Amino acid sequence: MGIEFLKPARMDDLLDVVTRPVEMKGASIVLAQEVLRGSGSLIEATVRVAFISGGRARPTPKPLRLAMKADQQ
Amino acid sequence: MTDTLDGEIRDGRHHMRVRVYFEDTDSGQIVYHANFLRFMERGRTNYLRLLGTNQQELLNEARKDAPGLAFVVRSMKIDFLKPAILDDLLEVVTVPEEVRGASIALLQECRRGDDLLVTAHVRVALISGGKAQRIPKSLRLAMEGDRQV
Repeated sequence: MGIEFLKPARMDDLLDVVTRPVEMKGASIVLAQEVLRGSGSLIEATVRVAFISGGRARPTPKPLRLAMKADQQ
Repeated sequence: MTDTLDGEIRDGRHHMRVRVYFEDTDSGQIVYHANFLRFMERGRTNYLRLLGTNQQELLNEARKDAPGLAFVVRSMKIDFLKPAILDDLLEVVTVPEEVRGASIALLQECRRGDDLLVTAHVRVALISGGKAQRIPKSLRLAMEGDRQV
């Protein structure tokens, strides 16, 4: 993960968490995420997620990969 | 050497131990990734404490001129390399990498014995009223004095 903490949030704030796929590889997915309060960006993050079963890396499930790609178009 | 609750500084690096409890694990029975951030926050806090600049004292003094002064995490780059599990005894290591005028860069690691589980580069700034403040000289000297070149 790479996270930039740009501005603080406070109790009672209503935040939007926005998540979008940036890269879909065979064994991992990269997501760009933002936490917004109104139009202002508080946090920006890049997150790489892998798939594990029985402690071993597995390929990105195909239905997931297709669903993310379809969504982007 | 005897560990205290706050760990110890050896060769300019802060070391402290953390035990993994049930509350730290997730449905996959490994430590939920966000909990490593909590462990590393403890490491940073105790590092400051053992440098002789307990955060409260330091901040109270500086708050006379800068109301609401507090350390904030400005950015993190974290790599989750291997999982930790229930009952693991972890070591959190904190090393100052760079002390600039208004921010401090720290390298932190979570280890289990010889296994490196998590590494993080953390940038911390001092903020008052939403504005960056200079790192107090005493803190900078304490960290730079400890740094290995």
